[in-house]
Amino acid sequence: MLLKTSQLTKDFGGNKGVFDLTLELNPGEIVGFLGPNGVGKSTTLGMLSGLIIPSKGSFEVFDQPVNHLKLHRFNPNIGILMSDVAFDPDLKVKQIFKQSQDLLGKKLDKTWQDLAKYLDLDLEKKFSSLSLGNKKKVGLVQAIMHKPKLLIMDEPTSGLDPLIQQKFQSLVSQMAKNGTGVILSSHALTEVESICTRIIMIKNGKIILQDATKNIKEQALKIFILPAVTPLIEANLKLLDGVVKIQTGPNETKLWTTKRAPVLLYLSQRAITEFYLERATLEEMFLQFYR
Amino acid sequence: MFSFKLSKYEAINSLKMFFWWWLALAGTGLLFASVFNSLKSQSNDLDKVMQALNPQILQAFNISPSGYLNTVESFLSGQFASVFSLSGAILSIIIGVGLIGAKIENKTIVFWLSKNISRLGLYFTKFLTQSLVFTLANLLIAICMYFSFYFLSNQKEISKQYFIVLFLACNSLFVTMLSFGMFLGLIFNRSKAQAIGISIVALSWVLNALSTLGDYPNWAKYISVFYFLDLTQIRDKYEIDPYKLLILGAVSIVFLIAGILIFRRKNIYA
Repeated sequence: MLLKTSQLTKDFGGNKGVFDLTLELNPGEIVGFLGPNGVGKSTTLGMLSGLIIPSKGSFEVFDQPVNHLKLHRFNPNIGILMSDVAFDPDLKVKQIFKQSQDLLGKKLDKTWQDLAKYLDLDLEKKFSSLSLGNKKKVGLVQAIMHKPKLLIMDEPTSGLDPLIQQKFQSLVSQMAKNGTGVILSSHALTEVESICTRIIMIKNGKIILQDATKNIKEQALKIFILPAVTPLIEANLKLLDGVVKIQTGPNETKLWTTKRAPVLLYLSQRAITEFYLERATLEEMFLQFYR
Repeated sequence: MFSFKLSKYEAINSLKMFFWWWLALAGTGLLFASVFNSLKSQSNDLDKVMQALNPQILQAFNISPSGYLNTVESFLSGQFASVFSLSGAILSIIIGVGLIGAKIENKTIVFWLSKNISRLGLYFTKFLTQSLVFTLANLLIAICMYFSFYFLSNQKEISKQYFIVLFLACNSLFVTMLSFGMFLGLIFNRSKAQAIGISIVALSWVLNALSTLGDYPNWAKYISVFYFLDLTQIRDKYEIDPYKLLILGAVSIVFLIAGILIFRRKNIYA
């Protein structure tokens, strides 16, 4: 196992922080942390990177128990990218990569040059002269250039243009195929939906949902879209088991439900056959959890 | 505990910065050396003016009551040593705050901590490398000054011991202030830490100066770091009290250990 936490807690007081976080990460898995700002995603990733000291709980990396003072020993096999990418502003991009490789004790190879070319990054520019997106690219290359077995990334694609986001997704997917375990946080729900094998949703510092992306999608709310119904039918539909929400507009009625069967039965009884069914997107689920 | 690789990058960065400090002081040395001869020719007139002043005031500014301009050593003690030690101590505080505290503030420290370097190693390496860079810069200034006066002044024998002792003592003070600056940088934000550090250094300098005046309590000097530098003894005897150097060293170690203990428990990304 690449990573295992048990009851990991960071209590900032006033009910702020992360509480009793228990999770595991296996090789080849991509785990996405979801949640609005301030719920504890960055704190969690900060603890896993050794930057934030947990109040209690424990964690293991590569099947060995560690704490924030010993984690550096594993850093040659860990890639870290935090949301605020910051390097010495006077260094050129290539100097950052060379220093990074040198300090990790890795043999200098050409991976960083290939990655920089793939992400369209100018190696001769000083870090201070780069745009926000290009700074993010530097952080990204620096985190993955040493081919880590464990990759921890906090909002890795914020500030990147869609083309680079796509390149990032294929890079991460390829790394996962080669056995790297990835744990990332993101606000880009479509990105999480498309690349993550497992999703963790956090609310008030606690995990409220943790499951495979496939299962979450299957269990997601079902949406019935049918011609606009009368107020009486709308009232009856609301009473059905599993119905969460119903919305009637001038032309159509939208109904969100966790159970398909009672709605289908009612519609057949009423001879309503013109309808179609959709599955709620992750974004809709996200809004359902956090509203 | 000590990372040679990190030390290499740290030293390159620091030497770039110290180049200007070295150049400014070496230039000052050259300037002083070139005007020394003409000033010395008027030393008798200047001595008369000086002797008319309160000797305690002269003492406060490390100026010899008589023969102020007779020798290179007394000239440097009065014109240079006091300003050099004060400005160096302030610079050390500023650099010390920037070494770790400011890097936490601007988050560049994440880069170092995501590498194969422990927190202890990072703190210790940065302190040690910076201390070595200070020593190197001060050594260069001392050599440059010595040879400037050697070639440009008409004094036949210039005491090497004076230069060695002066720069060794100042270097000890700077390393202590560096350690203090690093400590402050972990407790306060950058601007606050610098303001507090510089205020303490300035107050300490004033306290030491005032303590030599009759109207002020003599004990005040014991709480001033400049008392342990003892420029008067360096000026008069070309010597330094080893116990005072030891005390400076001990203060430096206390702040170093305190800083490491705080840094080990510091949340970097909270």
